Amino acid sequence: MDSLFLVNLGSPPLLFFFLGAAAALVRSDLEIPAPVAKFLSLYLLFAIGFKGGVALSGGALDGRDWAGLIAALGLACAVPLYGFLLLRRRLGAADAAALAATYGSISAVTFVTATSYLDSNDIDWGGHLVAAMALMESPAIIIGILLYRLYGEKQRDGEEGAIDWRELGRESCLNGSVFLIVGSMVIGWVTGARGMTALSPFVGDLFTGMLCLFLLDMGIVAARRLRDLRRGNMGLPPGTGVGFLFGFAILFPLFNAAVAGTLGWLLALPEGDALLLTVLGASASYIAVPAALRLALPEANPSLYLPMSLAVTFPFNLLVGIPLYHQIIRSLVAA
Amino acid sequence: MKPCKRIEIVIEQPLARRLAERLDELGAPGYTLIPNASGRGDRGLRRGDEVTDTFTNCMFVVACDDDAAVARIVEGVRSLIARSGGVCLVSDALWVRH
Repeated sequence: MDSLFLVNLGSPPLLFFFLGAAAALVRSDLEIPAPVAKFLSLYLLFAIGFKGGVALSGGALDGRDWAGLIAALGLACAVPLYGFLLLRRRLGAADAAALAATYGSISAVTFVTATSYLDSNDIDWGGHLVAAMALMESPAIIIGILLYRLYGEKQRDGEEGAIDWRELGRESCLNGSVFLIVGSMVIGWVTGARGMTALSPFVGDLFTGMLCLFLLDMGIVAARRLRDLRRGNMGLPPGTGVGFLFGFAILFPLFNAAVAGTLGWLLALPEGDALLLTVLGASASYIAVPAALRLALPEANPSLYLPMSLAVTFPFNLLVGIPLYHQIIRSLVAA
Repeated sequence: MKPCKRIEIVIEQPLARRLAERLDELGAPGYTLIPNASGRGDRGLRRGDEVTDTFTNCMFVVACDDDAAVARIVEGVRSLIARSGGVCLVSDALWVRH
């Protein structure tokens, strides 16, 4: 594990994440302007969607690829269910549903970082995993809301707090990030190698540099949230200790990674695909889900679910998770 | 200058569209939306530094000289911010009509 861990630790994206975190910790005035950060996140979704689409155009999916896609969808449905049952013992229905949705969905940037890690280690991965990522964004949001509807305060249609299903469908399935990933993937699939040649410098050569800049911003924001958490500035629900928050934000993704990794092993997925499926299972959303939840479930406190996914789970997966999952998968494949 | 009520509402940026629609339904004569507000409240520090705008607030300012409409707006906004968190302030003001 040491070598994989060190290779990951020495990669430019991770080092820029640390640089951002260091800037926030030493109170440097380094700042990525919000519109630039939004542009970078759009660029990453566009580039990864397009590259995935181009890879898909290279040949039809085989049975194992389809099995991987079905496993990804199954994970996206199962994680929020058992996550909610676990969290409901400790939290109110709204916060439990929001956290379950956050951890049932995925982090596109963690996925992108994992693809960059695989590329830098010359390990192939299938373009259909980008489709798996897009498939896993939305179900958890809908399941989380359904769970809240089932276990939370009951509202009749038309009352304040009743769920607007049309808006929920739009926010969960057509939110900007899902729309861009799927749209770019379709364009990549339609244009294939010709499209790749046309966009190659933009989605290829520039990709790692853009990822580094985005992770620099993520490092700044994540370190600020950690500091806010430590100082009690996050307005957490009563009775929710920081210890619980940290414990859940690390142990739950590890458990999900074990489930996803086992699925990948049972399906005999190639090393790169198995790692990406595991990373998808272990990651938690901090872009698509929070945005959708603020509209669909405003009762849930974002001070709980956003810092957990952004300031704890995301850095953990970047720093420890990706090389750890890779080492375990590599051992399983070798066995 | 005409006496009126100045209604200021601080709410999370993702809910701005919903509040704007609600204000129209409640008969607000108009509103001004000030984006990218930050600060601190019950739900912690809002730095306005995330790509999702989840931790970014915005502020609506409404000037209204119809007492019945003011009461409707306050009740309508109260039910919205009771779910999502937020602040609604009502104060006396003078409206420079032109």
